[in-house]
Amino acid sequence: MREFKILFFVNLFILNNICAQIIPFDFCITYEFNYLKDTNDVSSISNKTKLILFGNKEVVVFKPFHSYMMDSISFDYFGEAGFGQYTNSEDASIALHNLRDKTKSYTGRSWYPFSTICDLSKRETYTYYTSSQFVYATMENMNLGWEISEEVDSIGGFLVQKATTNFAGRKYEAWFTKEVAIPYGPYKFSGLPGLIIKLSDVDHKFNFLMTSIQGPSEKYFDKKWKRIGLKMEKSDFIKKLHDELQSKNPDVIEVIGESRSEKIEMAIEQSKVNSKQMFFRMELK
Amino acid sequence: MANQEGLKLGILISLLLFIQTFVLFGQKVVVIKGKVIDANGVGIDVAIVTAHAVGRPNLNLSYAITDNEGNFSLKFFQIPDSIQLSCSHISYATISEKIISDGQEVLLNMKYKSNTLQEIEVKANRFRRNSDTLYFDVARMQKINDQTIEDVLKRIPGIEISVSGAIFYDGIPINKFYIEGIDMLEGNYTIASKNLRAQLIDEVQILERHQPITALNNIIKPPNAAINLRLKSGVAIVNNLDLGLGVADELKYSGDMSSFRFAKEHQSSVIANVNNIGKATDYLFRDHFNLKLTYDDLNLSRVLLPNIGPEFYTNNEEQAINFTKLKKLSNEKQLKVIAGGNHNIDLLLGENIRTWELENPVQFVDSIQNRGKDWQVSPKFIYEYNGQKKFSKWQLDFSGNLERHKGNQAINNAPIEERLVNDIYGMNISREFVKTKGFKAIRIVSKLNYDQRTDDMIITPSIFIDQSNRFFDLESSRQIVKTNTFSASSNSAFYQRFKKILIQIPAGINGKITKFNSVLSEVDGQTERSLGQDFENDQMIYLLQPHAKPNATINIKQWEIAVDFPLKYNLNYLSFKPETMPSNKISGFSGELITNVNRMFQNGHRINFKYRYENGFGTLRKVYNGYLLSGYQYLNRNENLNIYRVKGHEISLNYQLKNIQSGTVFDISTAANRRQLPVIDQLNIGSQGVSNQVSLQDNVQDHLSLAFLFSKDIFQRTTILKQKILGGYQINKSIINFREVNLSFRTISSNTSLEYINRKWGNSISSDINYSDNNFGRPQGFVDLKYGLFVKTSTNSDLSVDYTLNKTSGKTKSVNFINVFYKHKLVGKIGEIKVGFTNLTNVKRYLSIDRTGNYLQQSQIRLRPRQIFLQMSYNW
Repeated sequence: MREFKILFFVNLFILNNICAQIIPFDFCITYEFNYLKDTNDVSSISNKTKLILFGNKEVVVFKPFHSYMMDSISFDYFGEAGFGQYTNSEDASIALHNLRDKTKSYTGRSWYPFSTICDLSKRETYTYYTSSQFVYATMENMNLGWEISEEVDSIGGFLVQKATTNFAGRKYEAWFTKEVAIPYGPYKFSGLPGLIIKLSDVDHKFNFLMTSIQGPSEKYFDKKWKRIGLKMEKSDFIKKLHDELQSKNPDVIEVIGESRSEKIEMAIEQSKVNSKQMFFRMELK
Repeated sequence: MANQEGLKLGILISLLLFIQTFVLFGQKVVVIKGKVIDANGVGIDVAIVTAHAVGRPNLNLSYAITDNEGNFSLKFFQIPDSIQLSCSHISYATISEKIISDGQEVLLNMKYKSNTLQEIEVKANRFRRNSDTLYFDVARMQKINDQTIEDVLKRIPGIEISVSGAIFYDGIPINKFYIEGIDMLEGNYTIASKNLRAQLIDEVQILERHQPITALNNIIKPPNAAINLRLKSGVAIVNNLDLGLGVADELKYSGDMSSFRFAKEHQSSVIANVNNIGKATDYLFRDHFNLKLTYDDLNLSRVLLPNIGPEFYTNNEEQAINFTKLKKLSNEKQLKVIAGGNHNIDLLLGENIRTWELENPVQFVDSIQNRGKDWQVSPKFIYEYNGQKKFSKWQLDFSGNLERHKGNQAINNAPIEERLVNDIYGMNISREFVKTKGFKAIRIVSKLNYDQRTDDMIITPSIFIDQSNRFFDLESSRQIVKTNTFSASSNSAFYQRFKKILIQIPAGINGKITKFNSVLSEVDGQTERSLGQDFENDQMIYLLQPHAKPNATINIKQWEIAVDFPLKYNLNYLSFKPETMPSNKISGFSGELITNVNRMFQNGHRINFKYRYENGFGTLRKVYNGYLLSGYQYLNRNENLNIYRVKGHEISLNYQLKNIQSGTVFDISTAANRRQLPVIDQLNIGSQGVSNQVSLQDNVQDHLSLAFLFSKDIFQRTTILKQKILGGYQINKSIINFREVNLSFRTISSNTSLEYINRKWGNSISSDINYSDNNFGRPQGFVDLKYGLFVKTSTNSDLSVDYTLNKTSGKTKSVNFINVFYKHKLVGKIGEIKVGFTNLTNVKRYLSIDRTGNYLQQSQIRLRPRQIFLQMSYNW
């Protein structure tokens, strides 16, 4: 487990510091993601995490807040030269040790291993999965068929309107506001005529709630982000995740969406039998 | 033949597709294209264009998001003559135009506007619910005067906290108090709830119907709730120091020091206590052997203890320390180590007068000088595995008492050293094991106890599943006594098969089955009780465990079903022959109708309404025959036939408002119960020696209870700040209002309680009248009148004066009890300084009387009539 954590940690910094920069973004939204596996299982109650969505005219990035903070701190620490500046293993080891000390408040939290980046010039959405050893990436064009109803409500002072869609075998209910002209939302949920303030599946298993909106600010971002990750087709991407589930350390957080795969379901059941660790279901397209 | 069928099917599908094509083509799709540009004529990317009907902004007809060049196209299936187009963008001012749908390209011109994005931060809801879990945001619940998490918990609707700190939810004690999912303190959670600063807590979670054993989650749901606290930073360190010094007939002292570390991975505590005011530290050490010296243990006449604090009569010297560490090895595994030790000396002074009230009364007077001393250590190790399908717990603890003295020095006339009882020690090893498979579960508990006091070793393996012996019950115990006697006993019942009956509420009925319970049923003609039940979402799976043939006939003779809203039915047919008394028989019908509304609202309102109607009748026939006992034949024939009738109404209403914003607590509950329970016409026919008896007995019970509580705690802080810079003056004005109203009235049968507390700034008065009449064989009346004055001297300090008149009937004197306390809370910290003065008038000894026939025993304990005490507590 310790080795796994180190690999995971190194992987995050090395792969994410290829060509990092601080660049301006037009908006930054934070969401609270809350999901509950079992209401009576105390160990699963803490499945609450913070997610961050920021964008400019070129890209819209969605990732876990802790992951973003670790990336930012590592960028501050390594500078633009990145991790590659250390030529011998001893220096690299010391540097990593120091960095771990700086980022310790962001480690050990419940990880959400998925992030998305939307290339606005091509309208392409890239999904990344950070495993114990690699970052896997796949690309798709998102087009969710939203149904907008006349039902309105008020959340956090915003006038919100209800919209529904089917995604990955589940029905989702979104409350968006036209008062914020940002047609995005958490994860892959986008394309509504306003910012998604609240999003839940009908079983309320996955719940996103916007917690803050920030205007223009500078954020850490790797401009050559398309180099990140092992690119693959969606089917191969699913297979990798499938393998991950069957690995010894299925620290895979349950992710929303994505349609079900029989193989994955079988893997889940098998893994439930094999693994004594806390288990999270995963559903994939 | 098969080909012809296939051909027909193909033609049918083609026809349907053909018709469908017409339908699709029949809908006219209108497309409006356009472009969004800025002031320079450059297309704007990611602008949102929405079209809605004029005058109906929420009716979206169509919408689009512009491409890289600012182009968009809106598609309509039905389009009115004129529509309203709105265009918005994060960096541009929103525009809205009314256009005519004539098919021409629309050009929308947007103007740049900086900082159009309003920066906000949404605070989390104060309260939210997810299935069986309630979440309360502490920051939003907390008020200015709330210091500890207990103060915040009191504001949560449904939670009641007793004076001792025990937490109740829905009137039922909680079964777990977790901090970050770990229950280190177990039943002694009060020490955390009273000392944890509210600022350290992020969220309070209430887990309703919480099953601590994860493997039994889907099988058994207990009624108790649990509380879990989530820490803000994941770690909390709490230190508490409580010091007291007093003067009575001797110097009195008390000191408590505790230090806790709460975290997700491991938690630890150190608790130390010294005192000579009779304060008990039992919970720290003595949970296994209970070696605390008691007066009964001293083999003397029983002395009734007065209903006042032990500091008024106890002489003790106690020093105790306890270390606890709990380490979470993984999500499922944890190890807990406890080590504790204490040294204690007890002394009780008094007199015991025994009198035989004969013609010439005979009286004996004993002086009581009960004295005990012990030295005790007790390490304990607990390992627990709490998995999804398995639960395992090992516990190993030792307890040793190095010195133990007891006896009445005056009677025995021997120094304490010569009254050494023994060095006693004991050991306990226990293991609890639960394994589940589907709806089947097995639980095995085995214990090995060794107690040197009695020189006994007890091995108790037991297999059972929950207290109602629902699934599997096998219990046996074996006691090995070293005096070469041996006894063994066992009983077992094993249910091998389970049958499921699925019961689901019909569609359209707004309700949820929360209970379906077979109280009594027959399996192949044999009585079967306490069968299992379980829930799956809105439907319930009912488990039967026939232990006869696989196709056993199941006849449910008595059952009840509960729907959480709005109605509960309980229909019973009772026909039962107890196996232990086969000649007895109980039979009858009864029915109940209960409507119960229990709902909590987001803003802190909670309402509970219950109406219950019961009607039933039946017979109970008891036949006793002669039996043989140890060679002595005892002949007894006594036959009872009881015809009983039960009829009654019960109505109760409880409304509770805990408004966090205004600090108001309003709780009214009333229950009226008119029941004839039971009306028994009893016919006794029997012969015992020469007596024959026939008797009839009627019994009607009325019950009325009414309780009313209103508490209003308003604390307003208004700050008026006027500032005029040019004029050079500044006005700051603060208005602070404090008011608390507490009205309470309760009457339950012969016990009447009336309380009125009105606290406001500067003065207060409270009165408490209690009357109870207990008649336990000997006439004894008891009146307790209490008057109090409460003065709020400032925001953080108050003065209270209590006067209590305690009068017990008989030969006892009344006790006048005056208590004066000044309390000052430390600002910004958890802590307070308390100065108290207590005076007991009219009595120097507490008298208890025990009269049996002509025998009268009076025990007097010497009291300390006056005390001054200074106490300081500080928490950091």
